[in-house]
Amino acid sequence: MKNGLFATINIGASAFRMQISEFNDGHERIMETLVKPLGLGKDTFTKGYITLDSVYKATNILQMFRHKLDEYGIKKNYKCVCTSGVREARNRYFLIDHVMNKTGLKLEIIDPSDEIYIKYIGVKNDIKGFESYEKKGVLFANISSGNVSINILKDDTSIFSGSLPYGSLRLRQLFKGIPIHSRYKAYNQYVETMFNTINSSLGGASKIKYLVCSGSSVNTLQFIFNPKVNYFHRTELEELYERVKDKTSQENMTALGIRISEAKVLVPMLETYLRLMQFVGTDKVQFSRKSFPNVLTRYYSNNIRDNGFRNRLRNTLYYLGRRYNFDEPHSKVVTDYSVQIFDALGDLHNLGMNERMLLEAAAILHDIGYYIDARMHHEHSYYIAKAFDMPGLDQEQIKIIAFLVLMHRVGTDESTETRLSYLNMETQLTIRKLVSILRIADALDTSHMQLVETVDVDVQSSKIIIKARTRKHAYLEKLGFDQKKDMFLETFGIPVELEMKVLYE
Amino acid sequence: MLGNGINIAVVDIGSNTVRLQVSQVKDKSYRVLEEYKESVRLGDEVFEYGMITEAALNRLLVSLKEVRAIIDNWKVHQVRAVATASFRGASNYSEVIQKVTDVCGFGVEMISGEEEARYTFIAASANFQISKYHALVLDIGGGSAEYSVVNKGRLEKAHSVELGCNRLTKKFIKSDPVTNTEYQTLKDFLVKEVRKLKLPRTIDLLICTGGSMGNLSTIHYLACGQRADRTVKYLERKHLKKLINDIRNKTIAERIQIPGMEEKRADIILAAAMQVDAVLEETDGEGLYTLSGGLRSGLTIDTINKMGFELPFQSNMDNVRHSRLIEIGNKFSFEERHARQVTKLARKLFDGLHTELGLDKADWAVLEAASLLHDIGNYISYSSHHKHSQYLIMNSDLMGYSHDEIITIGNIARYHRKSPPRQSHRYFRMMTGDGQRKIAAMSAVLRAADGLDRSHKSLVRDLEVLVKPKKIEIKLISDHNLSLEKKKFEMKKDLLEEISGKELIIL
Repeated sequence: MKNGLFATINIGASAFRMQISEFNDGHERIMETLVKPLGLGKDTFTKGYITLDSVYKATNILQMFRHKLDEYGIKKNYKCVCTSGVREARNRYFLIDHVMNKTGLKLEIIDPSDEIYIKYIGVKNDIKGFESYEKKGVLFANISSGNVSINILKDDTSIFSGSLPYGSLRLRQLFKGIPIHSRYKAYNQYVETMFNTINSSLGGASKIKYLVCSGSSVNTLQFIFNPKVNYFHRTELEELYERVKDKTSQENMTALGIRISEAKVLVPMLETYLRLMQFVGTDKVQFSRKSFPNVLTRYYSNNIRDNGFRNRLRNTLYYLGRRYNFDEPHSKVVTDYSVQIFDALGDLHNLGMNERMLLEAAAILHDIGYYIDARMHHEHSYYIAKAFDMPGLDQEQIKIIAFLVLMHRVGTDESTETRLSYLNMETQLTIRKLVSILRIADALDTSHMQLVETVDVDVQSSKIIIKARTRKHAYLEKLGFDQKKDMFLETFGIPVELEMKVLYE
Repeated sequence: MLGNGINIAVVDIGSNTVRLQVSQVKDKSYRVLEEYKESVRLGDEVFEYGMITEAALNRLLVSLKEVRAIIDNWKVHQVRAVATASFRGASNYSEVIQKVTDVCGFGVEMISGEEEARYTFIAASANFQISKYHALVLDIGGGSAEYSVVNKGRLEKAHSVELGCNRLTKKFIKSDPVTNTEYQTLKDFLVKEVRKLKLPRTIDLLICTGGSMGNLSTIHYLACGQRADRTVKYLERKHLKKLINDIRNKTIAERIQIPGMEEKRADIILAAAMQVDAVLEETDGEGLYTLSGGLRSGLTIDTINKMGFELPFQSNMDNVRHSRLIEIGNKFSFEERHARQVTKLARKLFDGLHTELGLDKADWAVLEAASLLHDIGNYISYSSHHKHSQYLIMNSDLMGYSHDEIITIGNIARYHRKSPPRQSHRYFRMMTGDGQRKIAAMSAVLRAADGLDRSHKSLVRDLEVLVKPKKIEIKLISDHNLSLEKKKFEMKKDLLEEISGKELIIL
């Protein structure tokens, strides 16, 4: 990122926030932060859409933000992102269009997994020694008004990632009909069901050591406790809970000096915190003092990064594969050959590290659909891959992985072509290049018996020769190769041939 | 098991042949020890003179004496002999039965065409996943033909019509080879008669029993170089047509030269084949299965049943189906307790509301599957898990459900949360109007039942449904605080209210 001014606007479920920062050689100076409360989430989570009145109010706030940007002379260096309050509203596109027309601001809806990912790396860059947490087990939770996004990491593997509809405002709306003196019991019961989901998805006990939270709720708690350290202790939260659980929002607002919008969600939020601590088995909730707009600003201006992402992705994919009972040795060698061929053909495909990572991911997952059914397993692999969710991998990347596993087997047929045609040309081309390589790699272990010991890729001017040394005659591999090599020629305009040599004869 | 190891014998006195099957009952199953077949052709005289002539009776007795000898040899515990159309059409049948009893020492039951159809149906269900299909079981005998329409394993209709192939051959075919006029007249007659039966258009499986059709498929299998000794064989309609054309142009002497042709069927086989072709024409079918020994296996199974035993395929179709559902649930790590509780509550709501919602009792089978499997999509991911459930249901082999039923189950599971059914949803759109209506109704029931176990703790012990003119009252029975389930029910009841047109009240 070049030095200069950068602004982010974050439209959350209960407030609009803007931050303007100046960056100078990686050094950030916050020029201005603005917070305007407006509960779009209240509309969205109860009615399913944003009322016209709220649309107008939102537009007014954004108009004001626009003027602020103009004051600083910011024309393009801004990001305006919306989270669940807009994301889940039926009339979200109307809001976006209306705001565009009235203010010229371009709103973007951020995917839940991107949102949590940005927060995640914000925390990761802020908490010392966080990389060791990723090994020892950490539950990262972002409690927002709408959802609780949870990401559990252990052994550098993302073992759970999901956005669950248990946000504080959602809970509050759900139970507002229940009398105040027993409402906290309803929260208690309800939040417990969230852990059913997590537990049933995890399948077994995984020991986690740390709990790290983010979201606007952290700001509220920081205001209440004003802690010197970067964590809240269980006893503090329990005491607060006992004090506020059966009081009205008004009472809590005046007693604690917080905003009414914060007071309204205080009890469900504390409930969620306490249950998370119980789940993890810790007395501390750690947090980062960096606000979301701040993290957004640093993320979009490329001032923070995620060390060890590739390694984590690889671990996570193998973890997923084991969940679907995949043939691990087969996936392993296909992955190795894929990457090896990819690396040897750099001049031919002109693709970069990102594509290499996608090829590797697809090679790990290519047969995963067998678990559902052997018939049409490539379709099942495609389906599972499409639903794969790991913070840090965006929808476009997941789509490419899904297409690679789909096409690894049949190449293209009518239905695949139709689906491909919805993608833009560059993406289609990338997919064809990568899948041509994946098919060759898969063919080299057609028998699933790892007969091939080593592979050399000999790039000649008129053809590519794959030289395979095998343990014994690999008839199936030869057959598989002949069936799958055509796409390579079609894609790269150069034939690929297989030379096999039996090692021990 | 009581009766283990004992031998039983069934004798089928048909219009063409006398058949015997001796079986040993063993471990909820049976195995055939010996079979015997003799062509007696009682029908020839009966259909002509209306009685069993002296000559015919003598042929019968000769054969039955051999049967008696075999039975004695196997020390058979129970003998069951039945006679079909030839006895039914004979004025002197009671004298014949008396004579047989005197000579052979066993009685003969004269069974009706409907009973005949029932035994054939039993045999068909033992050999086919009949509960998956809308099937027609067609038993073409010498004197009569039994049409059994079986819908999803239940016998819907059974007709016994006088379209046996001996009878038809006697009536329509006088020349050898058959003349074009005779052929055409018989064809027209068959088309007309088959049409009269008003067979459902939805038939997707045709199973033929009876010796003539069995012989025809044997001929075809031999011609293709396949093993013909299978109980079940498949014959495509185009091959059936080809066989008909081959046979009709040949004299009987020439027909006998066809490999596999049973000499004593060479004349009548054409009429049987033409009848089946007429049925395929009427039902727009692409082919047929033949099942050999239909009546005999059916009789054997029925005899075992009468001894007080049920074979696994009979007693446990529901159990087999159910355990397969649980197996699929486990494969995708479902929460079994929640799944069972939702199924239990859905059952209660279904029982109380199915008439209000325009559902049939039989619809429970699909709602049950959807209730058990509604959350399996969580295995793929929590977000959109209802859609993942639908995908997994449609791609898992749900035993005992037809294609349409599986799509229905997938749809119901899909609509257990989030959006209600919409025409823009592909798998909803592909259902018929009535199918869509039922999906909406059943997913409404499932939503409510799921809401009533929101805590996943099976807190609701039981519920009662009271249908009143303007409202439906649901009384929940529990020892626990149900505020969460009640709350969730309130949120999830709208679809039920919309479909029933009544207000839903929780008591």
